[in-house]
Amino acid sequence: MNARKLDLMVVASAVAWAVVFAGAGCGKGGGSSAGQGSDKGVATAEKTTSPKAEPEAKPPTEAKEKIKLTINDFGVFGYKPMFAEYQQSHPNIEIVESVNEYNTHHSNLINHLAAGGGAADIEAIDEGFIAQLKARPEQFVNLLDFGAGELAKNYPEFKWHGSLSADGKKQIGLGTDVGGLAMCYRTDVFAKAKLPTEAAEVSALWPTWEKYVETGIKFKAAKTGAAFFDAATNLYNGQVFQLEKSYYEPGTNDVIADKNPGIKAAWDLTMKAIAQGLSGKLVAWQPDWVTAFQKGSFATITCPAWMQGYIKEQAPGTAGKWNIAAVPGAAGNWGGSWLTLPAQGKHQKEAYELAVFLTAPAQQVRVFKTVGNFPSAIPAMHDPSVESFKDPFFNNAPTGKIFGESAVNLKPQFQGEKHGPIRKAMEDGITRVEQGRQKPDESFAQAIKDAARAAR
Amino acid sequence: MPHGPPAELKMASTPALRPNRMNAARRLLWRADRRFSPYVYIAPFFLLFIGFGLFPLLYTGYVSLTNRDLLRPGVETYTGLANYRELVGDDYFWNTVKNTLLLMVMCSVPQLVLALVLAHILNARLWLRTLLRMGVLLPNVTSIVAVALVFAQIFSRDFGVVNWALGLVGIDPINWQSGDWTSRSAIAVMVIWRWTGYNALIYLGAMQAIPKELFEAAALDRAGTWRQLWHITLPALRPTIAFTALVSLIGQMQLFTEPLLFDTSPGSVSGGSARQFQTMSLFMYEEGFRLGHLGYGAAVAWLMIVMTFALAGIGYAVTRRAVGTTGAVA
Amino acid sequence: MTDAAQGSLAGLGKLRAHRQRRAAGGAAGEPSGLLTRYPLMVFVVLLSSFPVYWTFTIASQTNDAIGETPPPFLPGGNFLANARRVFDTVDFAKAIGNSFIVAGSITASTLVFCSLAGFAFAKLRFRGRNALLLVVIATMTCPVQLGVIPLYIEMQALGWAQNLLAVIVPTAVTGFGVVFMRQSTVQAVPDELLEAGRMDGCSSWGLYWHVVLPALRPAMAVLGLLTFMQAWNDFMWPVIVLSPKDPTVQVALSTLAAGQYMDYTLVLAGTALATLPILFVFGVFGRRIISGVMEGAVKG
Repeated sequence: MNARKLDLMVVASAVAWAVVFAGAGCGKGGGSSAGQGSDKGVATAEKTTSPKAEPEAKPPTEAKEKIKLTINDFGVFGYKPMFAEYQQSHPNIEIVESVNEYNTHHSNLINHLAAGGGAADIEAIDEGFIAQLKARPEQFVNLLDFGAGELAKNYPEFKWHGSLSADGKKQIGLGTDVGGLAMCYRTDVFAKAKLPTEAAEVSALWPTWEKYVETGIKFKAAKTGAAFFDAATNLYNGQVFQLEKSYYEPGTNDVIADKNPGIKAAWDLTMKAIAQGLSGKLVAWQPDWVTAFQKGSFATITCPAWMQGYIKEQAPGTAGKWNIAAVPGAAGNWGGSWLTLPAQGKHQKEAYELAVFLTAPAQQVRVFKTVGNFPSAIPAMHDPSVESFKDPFFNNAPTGKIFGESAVNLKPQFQGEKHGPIRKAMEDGITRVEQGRQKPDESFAQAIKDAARAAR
Repeated sequence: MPHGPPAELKMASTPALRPNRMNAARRLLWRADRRFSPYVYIAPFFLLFIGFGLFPLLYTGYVSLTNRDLLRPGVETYTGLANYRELVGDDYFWNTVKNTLLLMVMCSVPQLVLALVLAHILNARLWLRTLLRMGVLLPNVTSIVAVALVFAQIFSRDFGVVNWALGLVGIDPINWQSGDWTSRSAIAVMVIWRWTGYNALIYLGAMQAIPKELFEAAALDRAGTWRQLWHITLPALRPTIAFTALVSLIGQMQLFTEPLLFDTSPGSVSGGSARQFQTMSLFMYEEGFRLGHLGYGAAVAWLMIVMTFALAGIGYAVTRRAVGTTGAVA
Repeated sequence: MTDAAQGSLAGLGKLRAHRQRRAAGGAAGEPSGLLTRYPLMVFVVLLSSFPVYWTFTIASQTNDAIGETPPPFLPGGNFLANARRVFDTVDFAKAIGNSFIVAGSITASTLVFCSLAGFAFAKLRFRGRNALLLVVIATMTCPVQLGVIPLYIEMQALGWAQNLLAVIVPTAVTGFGVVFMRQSTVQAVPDELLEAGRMDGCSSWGLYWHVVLPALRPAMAVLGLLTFMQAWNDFMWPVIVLSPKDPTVQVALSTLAAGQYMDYTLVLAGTALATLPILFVFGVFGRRIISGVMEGAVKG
């Protein structure tokens, strides 16, 4: 092919792609739908506990100072329609949202906090990072100063404590959603193993984690070819979440991972499950794990509310084959976020008012209806649309009730500053045993050593 | 056989030597130019470095002498060399040094050899050579997201391509992340895949200085591709090879992205469940950002710089003859 | 002649000697390696391009299609729909525009200033040259991750946070570029030419413009391509200092990746769209500069 022809080819393809750009770029989706004004009325009525934020009759001549509020979040919080409403009712406020990928969002936030600038007025923080960040409460506005204390009763205890500082005097966040915890299971695989398939019966199979493992042993004996659960770390974490004390002596910086009998018991049970061959030895979100969903390579998985959307998206062919039972202990939580106000922010009062609006129970219900995030506010959980929610994909399991109850039942657990890295150290230990790299005792000793190091 | 400067590049001005009748002002300008122009030419780089490279370096250096917590700026205390002393006695750190050096050897050597072979082949009049030349650079163009995705699939334990191929010859599925050498090999494959084309292009550029007649003569002598590579290409490219070796060494010391992507555990910077592929920069990131020990992390950064220097110095001393003359004549 | 040419000349001599010895021994000549060259190259290009091909394949599928095993290997028909979603989610056109501005500026400044500095280090004599060269090499050894915090502090002080300048200026002239240009100048510019130029009364700038630059074209083409590509793909720093309202293309991709779980068709559609401009740049400029000039450039 001579030079000229190649040139022409390149230019032709460039033109073709330009057309693609143009075609895709034009016909952008229509703007967000106009307000659902009635809901706002409900919201203001329910906000009896929040500081007065509504503007009364606006004197048309008085121009309030124009304020731009920035909010950074990740994933899908579903706030866009609410921004439009809020800006209508607060004409001097402009809201600018930036959405980023989960890890990028949090590392950006941490970098901005470390550099002393660049954070938004409102920052969303996920459960995975809250322990590290609430240990530095001076970086955030203490919402109690703005009267957030009145909101405490709206939340399950663990959610309120999740963003509370160690001394209990500083509240840095308002809860947005929770994951709750339930046990999703494959009815077809259970049927093959001659286990009951109705949710109530299945929940009765495992009131405790020990019984869960026993069921697993029975399941294994039925030789269906599937593993009982996907990864042992979920079994471990499910137990640890329910402990009164986990890695830290509450309110202190003392690591008690090695001394805490609850941790050891959780570890030992997990090791037993691995030894019995119950684990699929998969890693969440990896291609193998996704394929395992589709093929039914594992029978149960601890699932929070947000996992449902994932299952539906990744394994649509399994519709109707899932059901949801209670998790052993009927209490747990995996995931969920808070809205926080970095201390760097210049418009703290206005930001607080916006945050209260966004996390108000009425808004949480709306978010649940549009995006599926499970509410963290108890009044929202009891909203009929939430409580009676059923999904045919999951055999119409009463997910609204199950997740709500698991969240409400969960006792608050003090999570010290290095809770995240310590948890990772323990999880690595479990993975090492699953991978056959180390024996359980060695691995536990190594994990404790790593945990101590992480906490130094 | 060509000798002397070719006609195309010789300037047309030589026939009559200009009489050296410069007045004093011009002579002064001439001398000033000879003396100061080099500094002017290198100034942009150094200005930018002083502006944007020096402050971060000094800041990191200062932080490494304190016990600064990541999220508590301003309350750190001076601790002198305590961080460095702790680092030198830290098993976890030396583990990462071992991993980094092992990976360096496993990645650099095959990469550069392959790049040389590729560049040599691409230098010839191949059919569709431009497409091929651009093609080898595609891995560097490919976005990180795609790279992570593809390699996660390839090295997947249950359904990955590599394990499937191994299964054809009767080998059990390997958990690539879990083993020491399997994880390093997989990462080496990722790095080699990504950077070979980059180096091949650099070699290709340098090969343009080799007269085509040499290759033609060799072909007339019926010397094959590999002989030509060994006797003609290689000697000419020695300085370039030394350059790419240096750049590769520096890059490998800072290896971060590939081991980060390879760890399947979400958001993990520990380089595997047993830190089997944690490199120094991952360790630095873990200490500085995940554990909040910014002072310690800064010490790691500085120690990395010192070690890179030491290694580069050793490398330079070893290959000194190959670097070539500096040819300062003007 | 250049060092390169000299080295090769010696090599050719050795090769000839070797051939003569072999011919004397009666051994047959070697085949030209044609049989190994083409298959190898095809294999290499297939390996190199597979992920890019895969990107486009996924980008043209629907989400449930890619969930199947085995996943589809051929492109589907959904590309336009996915592309439209990309443009709906982020201001992608602006991101591409910004990336062109950033990568273009960085490439232009790199080519100009690195070739100048490389020339100075390679061929000009001045005090402190070796020490300063060491400093240049030293700047390449700094790990960048921790430098993010102080650099951000600087940008805030300068008022450049969330401005494209913050992304362009710090990497406008790199140590790698300087050392590479120095290397290339040493190899490609014969000293005799420079001497001749000096005798003609050329100033340093004149030498640079008339002698060095023409000889450096292939190397500059390479450096330009590599720099453009690296600037285009840079993610870590832009994502911290730029806002998603004024992003480069990689920052926009991060916004696309935000989601409760990865929407692969969306992200890879964005990735495909982000890769296209760079392929285009390669196609037009790479071809013209590398292949065209390389053939007719310095001839020993």
